[in-house]
Amino acid sequence: MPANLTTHLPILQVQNKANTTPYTSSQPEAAGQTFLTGVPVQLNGSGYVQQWDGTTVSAGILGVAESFGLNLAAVGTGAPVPPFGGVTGTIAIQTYGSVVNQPLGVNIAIGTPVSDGRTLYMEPNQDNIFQALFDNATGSVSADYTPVQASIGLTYGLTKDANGYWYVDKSKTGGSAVVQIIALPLGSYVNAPVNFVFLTAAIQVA
Amino acid sequence: MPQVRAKFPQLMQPGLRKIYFDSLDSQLKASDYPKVFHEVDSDSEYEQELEMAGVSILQEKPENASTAYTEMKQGASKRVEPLTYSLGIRTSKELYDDDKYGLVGKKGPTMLARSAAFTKEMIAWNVFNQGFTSAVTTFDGNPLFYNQHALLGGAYATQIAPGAAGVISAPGTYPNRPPVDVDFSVAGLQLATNHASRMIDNMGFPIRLRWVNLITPPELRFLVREILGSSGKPYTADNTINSLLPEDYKNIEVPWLNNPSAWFLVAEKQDHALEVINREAPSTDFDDDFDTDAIKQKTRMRVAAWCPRWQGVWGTQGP
Repeated sequence: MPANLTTHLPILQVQNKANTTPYTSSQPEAAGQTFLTGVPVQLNGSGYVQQWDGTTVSAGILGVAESFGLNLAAVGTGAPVPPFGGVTGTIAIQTYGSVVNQPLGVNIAIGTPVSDGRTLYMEPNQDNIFQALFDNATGSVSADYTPVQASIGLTYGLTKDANGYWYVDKSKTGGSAVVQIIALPLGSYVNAPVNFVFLTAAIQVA
Repeated sequence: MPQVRAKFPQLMQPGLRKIYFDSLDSQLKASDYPKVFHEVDSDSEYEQELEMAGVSILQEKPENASTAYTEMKQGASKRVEPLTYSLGIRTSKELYDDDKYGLVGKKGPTMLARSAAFTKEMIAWNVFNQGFTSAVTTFDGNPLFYNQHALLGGAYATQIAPGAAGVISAPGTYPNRPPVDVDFSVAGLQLATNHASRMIDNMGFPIRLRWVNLITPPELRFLVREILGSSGKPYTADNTINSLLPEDYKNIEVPWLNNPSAWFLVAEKQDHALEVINREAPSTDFDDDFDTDAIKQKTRMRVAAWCPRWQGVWGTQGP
């Protein structure tokens, strides 16, 4: 049986245990990434940000993306080079058509979102509390999709739905778990949101 | 990492005759970038600009023939995004109070202002430092200093441009950098001067440009004096005038250039597009930490620099 919902919601950072602004960071993005905001991301073998593969549980999650995948033609295209470099390239996620007699010139539609070659993400440290919908990739009855008071403290995995959003998956436990539920902010009901922290073992960059 | 007394024991008692302090003894002097760059304010995440080309030359119309019609050309668009730069200092209340010289805590804003000034200067001059690479490009997508900038008018533009054949290395292009980089020299300056005199717009019309500022690193100081300071033709025994003197180039020597042999020429401000974009002027803020009483001082600014058009600037990396 599939998950109860066909589409879920972006993972949100909702609270911080230190009652401060959550730590946000950014790194150059890998090529061809088309992920949505609010999804788990990881550094690939070359050190560039890509969407989490869903299977690397140990030290696999870099954070939760606060920007969408830029679909870069090459890794880190446009990312500023410290200490004094600015954003390079078109600084836009898309261009159209061509420019007469200037093969390297581009047309940028007015209002096209900015691309700076980097993924902005919220670090999954233990102070940051995130929220996502609860579901079950192999559920069949309401109870399978419903977080209850006894769910608090339990550890689960994350699964991506067909629309690109991730949910806390009751069917993934044990060695597949990457988060621990710490609260049911809106109570117990089918597909209710749950607050969670990432497990220390799942954090890629401490 | 906060500043605490254990890191500054020399400041805990009076007795030091003099303290040499970076921010007090070695000020940055005057800022250089405003001498060359336009300074523009912005109120947006990014600024976007567009290049347009006009029309070409009139065509001879035989008797009673129809008028030929043409159209202008929309060129490429280009963006610049100001980035945020920030830095802070944390000082323990005890160090702030016990520092007998009032330096570590109280001079924080001065040091941060100095840091902001240096950072902004380098962001601006990075347009020159990186201008030979894809990090700094113009509307045509090529590096700012390039020997084959593509013209919107294409080969037709260089076909009609008077004298262009002697300057260009490919039809439909125009250089603002020699095909082979040249030393700062009489011949190099003459070449650059000729490039300006023959410089054309996107449709091949001469724009009659004149260089005003010669921008050089400190390493070229003496060469500049020899070449532009000599009343006679430099490095010859001939009784010939120094033909470069009437050009009246004003040398701006700046320490912000990385390459000791690169040199540049820039036209009057109205004829070039070198810009520093100020999204947020440098500002300083303070706060106390309630729990530790530590004093926090920080400075932040949002700024960028670019040059979307290549006309009006010229550069070479030297040897």
